[in-house]
Amino acid sequence: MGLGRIQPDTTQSGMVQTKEIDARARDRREVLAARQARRWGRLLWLLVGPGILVMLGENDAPSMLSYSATGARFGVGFFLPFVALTFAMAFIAQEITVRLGAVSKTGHADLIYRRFGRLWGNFAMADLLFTNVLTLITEFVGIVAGAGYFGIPKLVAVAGGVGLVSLTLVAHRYWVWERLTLALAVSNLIFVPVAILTHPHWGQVASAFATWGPLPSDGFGPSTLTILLADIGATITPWMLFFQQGAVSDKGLATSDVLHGRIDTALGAFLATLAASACMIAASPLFLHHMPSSQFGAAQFAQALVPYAGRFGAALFALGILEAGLVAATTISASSAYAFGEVTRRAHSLNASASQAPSFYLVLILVAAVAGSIVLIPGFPLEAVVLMVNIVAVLTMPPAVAFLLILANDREIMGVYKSSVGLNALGIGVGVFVALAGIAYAISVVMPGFRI
Amino acid sequence: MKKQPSPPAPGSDSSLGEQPEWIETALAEHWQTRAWLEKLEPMPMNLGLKSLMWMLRVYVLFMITVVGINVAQMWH
Repeated sequence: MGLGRIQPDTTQSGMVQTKEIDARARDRREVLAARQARRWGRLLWLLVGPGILVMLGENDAPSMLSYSATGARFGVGFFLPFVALTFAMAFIAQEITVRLGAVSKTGHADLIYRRFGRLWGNFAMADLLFTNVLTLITEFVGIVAGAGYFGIPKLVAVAGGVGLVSLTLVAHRYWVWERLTLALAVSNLIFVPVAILTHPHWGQVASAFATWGPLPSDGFGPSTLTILLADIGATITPWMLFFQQGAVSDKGLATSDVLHGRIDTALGAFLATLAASACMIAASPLFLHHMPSSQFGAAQFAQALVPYAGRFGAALFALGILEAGLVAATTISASSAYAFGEVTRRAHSLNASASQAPSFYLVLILVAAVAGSIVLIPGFPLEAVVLMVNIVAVLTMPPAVAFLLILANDREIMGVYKSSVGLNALGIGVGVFVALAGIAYAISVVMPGFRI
Repeated sequence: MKKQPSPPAPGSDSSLGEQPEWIETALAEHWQTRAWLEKLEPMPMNLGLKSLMWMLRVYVLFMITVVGINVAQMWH
């Protein structure tokens, strides 16, 4: 990504030398050396990143609040294996971006514009921009709410969030940025000790995964479908496709690295499922004690958990929401900046410095700053945005899945890495499932008496 | 077949700027792909594909309207 679009610093022996190329070559040298020495553990360490980041990044503030609301409303039951299923579907979609990125060495937006033309590219970008801005606003809602539990003022929390995103400027290398963000993202597993502190009935958890039950007691009416759709939107969204393909190409993955890219994505899906399930289990005591949680924000959830998880557990919960918001603000800002750079054909790489890719870094920080500022506007309907953001993400997914599947079957781009019949069946299954879930939601809104 | 140059040891002091041949080797696949990508033309879209894309576009617009209705219902 971005190779050949950055102004060269010097030329030597007829070769373009830039900081970006230098960084990319260093990364490839490390990978090649590990592969030649058959150091498989080292090779995996070098190649993991985009998959874990995208999956844990999608366990963002509104997603964790959605899982909390699910646990508090339905307890341990149907939704636990259902969330595992949605992450399996997310893996199916994200695996395609690994192949697309490794084969084409460019981002998702660039490929859509090149193959489908400007009209369809603009539609895809409108969906991405719309959902990214909405989602980023909710990340800052999560950051403010999580920080608020510890008495940190709103303005300081927003400034801290934008400041963290701005740290991207000093990384100067994709590798450094990726490792720092990964370290923060793995903190998403903080929900596991919170779940343990609530002393759940582990037999019931195992039974839920084995039997997909108990089902919601009032069936699948409008409010249950809204939560179901929000949980799907908590795992499958358009920004993930743009981010992972952008990150795979910026990391410099080659076709020989596809297997490790798949392992990276599967590992990310597993860790994200673990954190999401833990969050749901942690909130389930609120269901058992009939706590009305429909209007709870992050701070209220944390406070409500004090009698069951203790002050320490509640503080960990608030910290988890804060962390989820911070990681997602970073990754979603990056996905916006990648897409902007690809569409405008400007330099767009985390291996480039701010002077080499000014518009890339400007967009990255600007979208975060705008979203953070909106959260500070008094009277802005934040609750409605938080509630609806995951649903909007699901509803914009079917065209995104269509672009993805068409590109994955484009022989001119993919060659031997084209999707197999089995992978296509799974991919179409994801698209149909997401579209049908959206239709069921629409019917439930238009006909409030509707039940599945 | 031309022998590929061995990579310098990871962590060695030698600057990559002094080893352009190695950079070329390390990034050969990337540069070939970039050159190929610049020549990539838009794909021919038949009527069925265009219809599917428009149908999905209408789906998104309809669903966004439904979300608006849902938000209005919740506020009232």
